[in-house]
Amino acid sequence: MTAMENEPKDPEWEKLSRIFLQPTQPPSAAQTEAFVCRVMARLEPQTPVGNALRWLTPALGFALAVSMVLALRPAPNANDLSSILSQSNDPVSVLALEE
Amino acid sequence: MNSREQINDDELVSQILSGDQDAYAEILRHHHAWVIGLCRSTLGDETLAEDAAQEIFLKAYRSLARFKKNSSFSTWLYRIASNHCLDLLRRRTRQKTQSLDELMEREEDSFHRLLTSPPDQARSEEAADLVRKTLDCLSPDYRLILTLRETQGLSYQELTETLNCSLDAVKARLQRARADFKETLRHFSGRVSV
Repeated sequence: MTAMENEPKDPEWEKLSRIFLQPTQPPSAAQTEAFVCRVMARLEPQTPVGNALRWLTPALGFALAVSMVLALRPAPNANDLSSILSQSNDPVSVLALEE
Repeated sequence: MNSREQINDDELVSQILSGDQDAYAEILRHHHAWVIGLCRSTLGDETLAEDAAQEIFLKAYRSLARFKKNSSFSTWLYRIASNHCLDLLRRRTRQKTQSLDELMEREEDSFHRLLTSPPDQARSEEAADLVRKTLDCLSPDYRLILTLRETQGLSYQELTETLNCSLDAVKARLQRARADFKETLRHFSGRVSV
């Protein structure tokens, strides 16, 4: 026993501990095997490919969504530009129209 | 756990992290007995203990990449198990409705019999039931440290590593936990002499 473990004797506590705080009955081999099966069935796959897909799939999905938004967004054309500028009294924009 | 088993656990962890998921079954076989024992002693309910044990091993599996090997695998697993049991105890403490006085009224004779009669099988079952009820009256931290020290047999060094606190803190907490436990028992019978 190390010096760290040399706690003062407490006969009262030792008796109480013997009566009230004994270890529980250990599981049998069959119980352990049944437990192992239950836990293993709940494990998620941990393959290197699986790990990569875990971050790659959402990243690819996000990139695809952004691409689609950008592709489907209507581009500004000249007619639109003219109608915007024609509503403005700014001399610069009037000159741009005339050109 | 001896050094041979520790080397074995380290090798198994390396295999698992390399993609051999089946190696985790060996980890489960090595550590199931004490994990389920800790859960049973701390939580006092077989169904809760079984669920808790499963959750502990699942948490450990998900955290395997963070196991640094600067402590033994069993100490690392003890830390996960203790924190999980402590969380469950704290949740249960908030829901506890039975008062110590009610418990005393019902169980005083049982405690007196246990402390004054020779042990036998029936007494063991009775003791287990009363222990559970007495431990229910302790704070979660005291209940956990008593379980780790008295039923799991952890040394002071292992307690400092598991609970992540200093040796002085461990000794102080253990002393208060024992005093609390004794005080709870004394409430059942002022005449109990041990």
